[in-house]
Amino acid sequence: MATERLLQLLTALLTALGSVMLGTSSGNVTLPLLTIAAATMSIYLTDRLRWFYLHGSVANLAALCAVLISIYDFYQLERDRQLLAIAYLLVYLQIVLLFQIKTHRIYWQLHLLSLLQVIVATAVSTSLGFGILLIIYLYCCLWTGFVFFVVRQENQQRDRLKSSLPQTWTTDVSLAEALREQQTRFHPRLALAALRQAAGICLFAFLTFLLLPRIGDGTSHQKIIGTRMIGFTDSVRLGELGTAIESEEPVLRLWFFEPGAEQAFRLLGSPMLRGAVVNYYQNGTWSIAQGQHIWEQEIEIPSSNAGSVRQRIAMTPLRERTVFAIYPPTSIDQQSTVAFNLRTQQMVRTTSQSNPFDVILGASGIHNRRQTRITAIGPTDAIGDISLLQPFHGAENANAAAQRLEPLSALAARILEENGLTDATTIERADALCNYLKSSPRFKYSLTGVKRDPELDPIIDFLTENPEGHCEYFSSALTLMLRSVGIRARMIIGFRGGDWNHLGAYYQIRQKDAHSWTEAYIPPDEAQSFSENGSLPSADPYAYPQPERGGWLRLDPTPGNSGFESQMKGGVAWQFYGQMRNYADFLWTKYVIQLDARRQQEEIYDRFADWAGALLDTVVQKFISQDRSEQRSLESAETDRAAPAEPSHKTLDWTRLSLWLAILLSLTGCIFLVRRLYRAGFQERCVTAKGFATPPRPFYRQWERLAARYLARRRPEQTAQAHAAQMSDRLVAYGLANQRDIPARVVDAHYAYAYGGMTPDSETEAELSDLIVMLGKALATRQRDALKT
Amino acid sequence: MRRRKTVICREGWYYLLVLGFVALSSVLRNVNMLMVVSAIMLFAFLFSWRMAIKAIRGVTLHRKIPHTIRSGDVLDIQLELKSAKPRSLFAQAGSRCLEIDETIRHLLPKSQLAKKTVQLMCWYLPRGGKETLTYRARLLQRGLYRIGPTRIATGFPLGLLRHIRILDQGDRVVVLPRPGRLLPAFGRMFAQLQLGMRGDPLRQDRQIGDFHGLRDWRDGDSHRVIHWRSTARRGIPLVREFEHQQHEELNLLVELGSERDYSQRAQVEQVIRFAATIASEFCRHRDGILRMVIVGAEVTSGGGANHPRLLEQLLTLLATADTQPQGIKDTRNERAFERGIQLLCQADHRCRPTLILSPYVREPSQVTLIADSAAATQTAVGPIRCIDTSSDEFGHFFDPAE
Repeated sequence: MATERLLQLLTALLTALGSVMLGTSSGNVTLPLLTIAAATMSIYLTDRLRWFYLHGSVANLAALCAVLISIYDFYQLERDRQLLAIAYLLVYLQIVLLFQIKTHRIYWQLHLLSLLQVIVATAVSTSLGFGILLIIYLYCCLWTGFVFFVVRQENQQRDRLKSSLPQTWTTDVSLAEALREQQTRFHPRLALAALRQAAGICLFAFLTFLLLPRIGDGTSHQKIIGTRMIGFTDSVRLGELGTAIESEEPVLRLWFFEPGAEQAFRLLGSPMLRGAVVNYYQNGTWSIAQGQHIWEQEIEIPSSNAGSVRQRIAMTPLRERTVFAIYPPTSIDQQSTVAFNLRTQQMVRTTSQSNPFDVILGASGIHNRRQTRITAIGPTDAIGDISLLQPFHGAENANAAAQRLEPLSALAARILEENGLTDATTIERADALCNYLKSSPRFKYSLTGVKRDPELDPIIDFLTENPEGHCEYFSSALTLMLRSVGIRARMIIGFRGGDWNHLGAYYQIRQKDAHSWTEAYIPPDEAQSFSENGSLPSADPYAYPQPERGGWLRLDPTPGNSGFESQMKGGVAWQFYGQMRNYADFLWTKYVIQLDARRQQEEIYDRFADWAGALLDTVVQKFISQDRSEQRSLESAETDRAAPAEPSHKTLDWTRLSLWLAILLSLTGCIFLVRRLYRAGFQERCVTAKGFATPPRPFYRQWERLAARYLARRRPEQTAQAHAAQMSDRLVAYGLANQRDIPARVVDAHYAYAYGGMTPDSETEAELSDLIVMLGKALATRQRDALKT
Repeated sequence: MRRRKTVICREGWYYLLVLGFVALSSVLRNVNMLMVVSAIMLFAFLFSWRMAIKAIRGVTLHRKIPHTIRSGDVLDIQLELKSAKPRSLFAQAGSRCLEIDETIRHLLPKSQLAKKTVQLMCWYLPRGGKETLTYRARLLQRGLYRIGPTRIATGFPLGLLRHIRILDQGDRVVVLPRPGRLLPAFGRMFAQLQLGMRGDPLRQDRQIGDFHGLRDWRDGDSHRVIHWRSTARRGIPLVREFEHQQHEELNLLVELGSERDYSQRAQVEQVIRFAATIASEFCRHRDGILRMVIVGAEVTSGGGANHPRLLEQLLTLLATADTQPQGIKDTRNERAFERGIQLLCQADHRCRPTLILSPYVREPSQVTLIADSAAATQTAVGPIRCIDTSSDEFGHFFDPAE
């Protein structure tokens, strides 16, 4: 009964775990909670107390209802989430089964439904946490399987006992005694055995997964349900109440590589990844300006040579097509998977959003490991567009919007006037306005929503009444202030900063890193002077010879994050843990989720071949052809001096390969030989062909003599015990049944001495000796009588 | 018969079906997580297989069982399972949930072939250790039984497949017929038989005993016992006289016939038990010679001077005796009977009192004729007594109750 109770607990745990995994992958919290509650209640109410359980017909009706609900859900859900409707059906059926009286069939169905849930969850989940849950599930599954098997065996044995009551056939077999001797004494060990099995299974399964060659082009058709980005939008609405959410959800990973280098480097300062550009402001809302003749057209991004800094962007599946990057990006590969959208001025992906995205682009905006303040004008940027001055583009600044923003214009003018920069360059004026917002003690950065005056424009309220807000207020205010003084400006939405991971040498950008800032247009003359100072590399496609287009000056007016290093909470250990977890997540994504044929070839097969080659080189050069290699190195040194170095090409060396194979075969043969010899020796030790490891005691020699004289000599292939059993039978046949136990007693004492190391005490030896003498006398009498007859 | 095999259970087939579906979809859709799950499921199956094989590997069985037993007695069968010592670091700690199926097969008589399987369970057998299982059987019918072969199987841990191994060829047990009680009528009849033997002058010299003395010749004395030297000296015939001893001889012929000769099958068993009782009584109390011939499906014979193994030998013959199959012609019955008489009339066994148990009516004179023709001499057999086992006469001599 205890075993069955354990099985009930484990089954409930298994079902709950399966539902949690499904809920984790589908983002549904209700169903896991419902299943956990149902599992807990079923243990207590159905399994233990039997207060509540569903009869078969009621359960069937409930299952039918579950099917109908799931069909309804199936047609209500979006196309990519319809798979979840089937998974939810599994959960409903599971709950119905939990409240039935548990039989073997019900247990099987529960386990199967749980397994199917996990399979569905696996099909839509990719996170490392899910992988860990999968391992835990495997362990629980194995443990449950073990216990379930034991319960089945116990029940079968119980049935056998019932069916083996007296029968009228030839045999009447009683198992009661056999059953009474059995003890289910291994239950605590089952958990440990399951743990060992789970570890072995995980190891072998992972190795198989890594090494098994992939077929096909490696394009994953996994239906990943993309998460909507919280921090990033392509429109901004100011004046809303509520606290901005800082989500830890990862968005992308970012690497930077120097030209020709494979090792990633860390940027000096925080990277600012541009996403959307919004330049139309009206009543507290920023949006993309709708041009009259611009359609949803996508153009290729310019390509650059391999001499520029590269940025690698690996994005998790998102619903947006926007690709965030250091601007301006350039294409390195011929077949780029990104393009510029003319309407939104964004870089977008050309592949499906449901797939993970990984692209390497050139980064013109990075120079000397630092992101440049002025970036080149991109192909989608319409610098002549009057929307860059909206709503101050009117001749008399007389439109209603401008009048509404009059305090802002006055403030901007006052700032410039106070700083004496009325006639200064664009950069100086923009910096002055930016510094005012950034360094003024009046303004305070806050994620908490502030109640604004509905009569005023939110920006005016921010600047005059409630100088508190988040980055969008600061950047909006700066953009409008720049425009009010005649500087073309736009608001940028993207990501800034991120966590630098030392282990993987990458930036982890999360949704909480969403940020907005301002870009001000710099006329060509100012931009050229900036370029002559070395900001823009001459080989860049965005740089000159198109100096006449000017550039964009990046301005971040949000205070409190000038260094913008990720402020990690907690101590060093917590930081290290965070980095470790993030790196493990990265490895999981790289080697599990996104492992395709190409990556398998590059990361596993080629690397393994390199390791093997290096090892072979080491072995061969050290132990076989050291002299030759020295000679060769000398020759090559001379050749190097004579001729310029050429890139080396690796070719398969058949001689070395054969040598390696021969070594491997020899080693294998040696192992088998040693094993065989060991086993032969072991057997010899176990079964001594003649005699004993220790000389037998006198009573046993006496017994052997007696048996040889009156009964039968022990045959060489016969063990002492088998011989004793045979002799006992003979004694019975000779009518000495009352002495049939003597051989067994003698041999048991002999075994205890010879193999157990237990020397019998003198009294036992004397008793055995007397018994043998007595038996000898009885046998002699019988023999004499028989002869007389 | 394969000594070891692995069988995939029904649950295993379902599991493989799910595994195949997952693996196929993972490959076709190129979903890596599903590949991981299918690899885990595959290795769970393979590990289960490996565990089942390893659990049984190195397990040996030793069965303690008596060679003979009387029908109806309790038979204690002790199985000692031993596991070989581990040789590997990664060896399992022990074998779990070992199902042991012992087959008890009734081999002889062939008309009663039957089989029963006893299913035992060894929950845990530590590696390098041993476990003793005992079960009890009551074999109600005489015959030759084979206990075994023992089949050991396990589906642990998941029950997806079962690995089965046959451990031994089995041991044989002879279930002897259970003796009953001879009634006084049989004693009288037996005494008459013995007296008839002594009355025969030709048999007088075969009396085993010490020389007692000489006496005058009387009618009926054998010429062979005349002491010629004293007769010549005295002028009247004198014969030798020996000390009388409890020495008896008997030729017992058990003709079983076929089943149609009996109204009930149980009657055959009664005849066997009657013969077994005669043999038991003879071997227990008397010092003599008992020769038994059984004419049934086969003609078998055994016996001789009383010795410790004689009774077991005779009872074993009786235990395995069977009636003739139905449809056999009467001529063949007669030939079998003649063959049985021939066996009784061999040179060493002639002239003993003969008791014939037969479902047919056998006249002593007719039997004598058959015996004479078999031995090619007259007076080949001693006094003959036939008991018709298909009639009520049989019940006067034997009580089946112990």
